[in-house]
Amino acid sequence: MTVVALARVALQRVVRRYSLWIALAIAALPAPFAYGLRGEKGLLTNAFNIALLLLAVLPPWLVGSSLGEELDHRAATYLWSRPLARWKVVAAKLLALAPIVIVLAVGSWIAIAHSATTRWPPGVTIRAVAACAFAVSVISAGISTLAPRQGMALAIVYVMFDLILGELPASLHALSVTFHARVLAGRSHYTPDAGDWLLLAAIPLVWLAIGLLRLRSREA
Amino acid sequence: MTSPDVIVADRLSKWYGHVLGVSDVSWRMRGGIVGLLGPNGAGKSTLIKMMAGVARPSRGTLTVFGGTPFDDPAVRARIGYAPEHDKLWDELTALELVAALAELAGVPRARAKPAAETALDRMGLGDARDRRVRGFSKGMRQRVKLATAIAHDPDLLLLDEPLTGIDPVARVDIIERVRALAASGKAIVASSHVLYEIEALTSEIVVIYRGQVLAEGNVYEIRKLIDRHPHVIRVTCDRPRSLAEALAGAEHVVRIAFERGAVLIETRDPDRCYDQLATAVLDRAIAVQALTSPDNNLGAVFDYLTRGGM
Repeated sequence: MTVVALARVALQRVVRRYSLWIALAIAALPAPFAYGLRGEKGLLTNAFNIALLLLAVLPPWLVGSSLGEELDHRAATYLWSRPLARWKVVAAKLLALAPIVIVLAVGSWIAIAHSATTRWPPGVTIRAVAACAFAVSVISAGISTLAPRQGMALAIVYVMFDLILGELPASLHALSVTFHARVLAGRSHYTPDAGDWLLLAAIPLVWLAIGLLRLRSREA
Repeated sequence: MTSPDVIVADRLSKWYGHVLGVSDVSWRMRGGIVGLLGPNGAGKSTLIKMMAGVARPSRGTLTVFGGTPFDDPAVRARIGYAPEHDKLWDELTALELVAALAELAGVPRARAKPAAETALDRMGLGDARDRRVRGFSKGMRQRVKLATAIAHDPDLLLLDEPLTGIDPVARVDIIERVRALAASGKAIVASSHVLYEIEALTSEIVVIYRGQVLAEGNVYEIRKLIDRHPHVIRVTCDRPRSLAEALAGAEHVVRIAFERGAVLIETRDPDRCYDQLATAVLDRAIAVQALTSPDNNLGAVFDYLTRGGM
């Protein structure tokens, strides 16, 4: 119940602060650029990379900044003085904002793909974008819980680093969520398997667990 | 047998890095209104934060209703906390804000809105309930904070500087409302750095300075302690030296100092000093612009108490 109440507040605040409309604008930006890709070799893969790049901004902007501000802001004293388990604050933010991130990321990907290829993207790519959007939302939440003040910036840097990591030929790329998203979308020469899903879930969960551990002892 | 104490602090300390917020405080509260009195930075807010369960003691113990507020949600459910700052969820209306926080404090959703409406009405904000908090004045924000603190009907209210920054009319009104809450059975801890604000709320005070409890008890007892020590009277007048001359020989005068256009007289017998001052002013036809007693402000009280005069 309290998670739903908090999620409702998070949603109201995001909508009334225009954060959502800015996120919409960010999500709409790549489609015109994708149009310029038309006729290029490896069109869908390049377009998919643009969609992944968007994930370096959208989840940190919506989830990371909202959660970081909540925890850093003095208003957190109202939360901590309530009989409320602290993980619920993070869960509520994810409940309210991660679906928005997923819808925007998927919508943007469909627009990008259509703009670049004039066709609907394959279902497998849509699933991969949705999964990666959720994974990056959870990572942003974890990072913002660890370092609320710099949460959004650190999350952006992290995802940028993740994108680079995913391009490495060595096995280090296994630590990159965007790499697994690419594999699952069939936009890589690696064959997708259950391990990709597993790591796409495990990496964000590690960040979330670290963040929640820190949150337990956090004082206002 | 359960303890009748609402709050028990035993050798309680709190520090942030190298900064000491609260130092070795032992104190207990049974009910009513208790005023925490101390200048800014004295440790009042830190102490209240620990009582509210938003900060953890570094050393010693603090129990509220027999439990530790930081670790025990059931204890926090019985506490209403209005922090010193007025950072709220400004995007929400007053009703949405108070209802949401009531729900987070354990009030079922169906009852949260009526509870919020009642709390806002009690704080005199019934007409502004559907306005967003962003546009609220300082006084209205203080009232909203108080409404968030009372909406879930807690047994203990922790009000950190509830009267700061509000106009005199609103101050009187809030004081009346806080006293009404105490009359309805709530235990209340209210902090302030202004003596007369606390006096208006309660006669039971705890004096805090540099993280330590300097004195506690009835405000009049505290005043008696103060009266044992030199009392400073500041007279702004046209001829401060002439006035000083008239009083210089009096045996109760401890020290005389000058400021621009004023004389500061430190006395061990304020009543006699005021009499002699009046006589001197009349005899010498001195034009007095202002007569104040810095001892009546809190800074002077703390200075006396920390000089070891107690």
